[in-house]
Amino acid sequence: MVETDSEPAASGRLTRWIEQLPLTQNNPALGLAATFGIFATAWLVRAAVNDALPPGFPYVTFFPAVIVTSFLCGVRFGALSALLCGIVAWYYYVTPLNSFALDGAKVALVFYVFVVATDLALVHGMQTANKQLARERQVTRDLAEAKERMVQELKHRIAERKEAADALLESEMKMHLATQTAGIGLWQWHVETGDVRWDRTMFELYGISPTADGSVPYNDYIASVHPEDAVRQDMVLQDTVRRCGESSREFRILRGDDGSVRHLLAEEVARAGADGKTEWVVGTNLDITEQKHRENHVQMLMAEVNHRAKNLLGVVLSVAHQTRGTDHAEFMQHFAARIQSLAAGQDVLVENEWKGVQVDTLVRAQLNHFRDLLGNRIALGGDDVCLSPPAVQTIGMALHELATNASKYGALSNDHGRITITWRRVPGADTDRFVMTWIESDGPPVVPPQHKGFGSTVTGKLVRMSVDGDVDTEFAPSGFSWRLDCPLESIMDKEDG
Amino acid sequence: MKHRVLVVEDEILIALFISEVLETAGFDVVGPWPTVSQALAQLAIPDCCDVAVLDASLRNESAVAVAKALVALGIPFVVATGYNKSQLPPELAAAPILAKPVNTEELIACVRRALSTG
Repeated sequence: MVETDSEPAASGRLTRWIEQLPLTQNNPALGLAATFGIFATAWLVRAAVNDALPPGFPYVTFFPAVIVTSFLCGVRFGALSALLCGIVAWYYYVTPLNSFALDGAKVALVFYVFVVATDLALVHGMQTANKQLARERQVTRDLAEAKERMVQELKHRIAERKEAADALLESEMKMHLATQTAGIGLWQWHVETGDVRWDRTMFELYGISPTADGSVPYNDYIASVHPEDAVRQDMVLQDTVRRCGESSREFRILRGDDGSVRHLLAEEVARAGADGKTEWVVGTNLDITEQKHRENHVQMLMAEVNHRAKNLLGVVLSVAHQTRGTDHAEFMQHFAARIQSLAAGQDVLVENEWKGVQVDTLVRAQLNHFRDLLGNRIALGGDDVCLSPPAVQTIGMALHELATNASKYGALSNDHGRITITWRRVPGADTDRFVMTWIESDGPPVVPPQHKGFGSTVTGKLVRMSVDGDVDTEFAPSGFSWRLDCPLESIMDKEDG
Repeated sequence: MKHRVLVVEDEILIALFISEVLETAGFDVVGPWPTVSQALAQLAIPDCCDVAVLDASLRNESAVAVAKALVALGIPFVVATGYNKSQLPPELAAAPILAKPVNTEELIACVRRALSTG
């Protein structure tokens, strides 16, 4: 208590004691007993001092008794005390003594009544004022206490708030860091005002320079969505607002800085206001362009693999259909050799991820059976040319047929024949051309075949039609030779330029 | 008189195979042609064929242009392809589909059916 602490201790105690007067106000029995006690004491003292007093002081002890009683026990007991004291004084100490006679006592009695009435009135007035003061002091004390409690409560709340605010700030920072690291943009949209707020990552995703407060008008947001997707996105968002629900979207945007198309994944949730209608929508954006491209690439590869597999089966079937043999064993031998040649072509394509194969690589793959002869009886060399997948298959099959014929009838059918394989780019007037030659020498005497089989179809018609080229086959006495001349662009891998 | 079949197929081995099968079955083969431009050049010649066997994709080019030319000329055709019908553009999906790898009997039956309905 601020007031009492500043007062001297004794004075404070007295003040508090006076404030409690009359003492017996809540205990009438004690009040009555005290009244009679004080009355009796006054009577005894009056009786004891009676002989020492000169005549004419009937009330000398009774006035203090009435004042003390009303002071301590209240005005009602004071009045009772005044009545008792008055009667006793009237009978014993007012002349004529030992009688209630009025004659000669009137002046003394009127004086008595006047004095005690004044005393009682004064004490009552004082005590009423005192009570009022006490009440006011109590109110002041209560106010001070309430103020103190409020101050404490406020301090407590502020501390709590600060803690919560710190925690919120920390969690917000953590989330921001996490979303930023993951490339997730955060946004919120106040539906009524159309005010959209973005975080920094959102601006980065959309390629737009950040505004000071992060605000973006809703219409500006819709404007950066790809024109083909904008109507649909607006519909979904408005529906989410109407349902006050959640939505998930995939759409394209045109980046503000370079105009590039990006694929975004968006998740959002609507928040209801007090009226139950959507007040806010909060959401995330994530750039899934790379993922989208990978998905498309895988889908394209799957479709391509399926197509190529079926095509290859068609090729195998054609080969089977056109492979001749005098009996089953011979057929199987020829057929298997051709399939192996196709497989070798596939292998080099796969090793090069279907991106094209160097002629040198293909020749070595198709002549794998004769790898011991490479560099001595078989010489090969040429320009740096990367073949497209279809050309790998066509030229690969032709090389296989040429090698098979050479080992059966030509330069590889004896032990000293030679083959020279060359290829080169030849600059032309309109387009560059590709020329490949297979020249045999030192083989057994050359005999042109009597009928043309599948092998000559492959080295002739197949190659000619596939690569739009000219094929010359010559059975010269010095040795068999084969020459392909075609536009470079019809055999080159496009990615090779 | 022998019916003339235009064969448009970019995988030459398959084209040669289809041609041989059709010739053995008593048809005259026109082509085979491996590209859209060559097929269109062939179709520019009046009354060049009675029916066609068309691959859906020709050296990374869609055969839709050839299909349109055939429809315009009123020449019936079948589409030989490894793709599913759902993967094909409508101009090609509307024609009878001959699934690859091609079965010889199915090929002949398909071509005969196209001739009789067309």
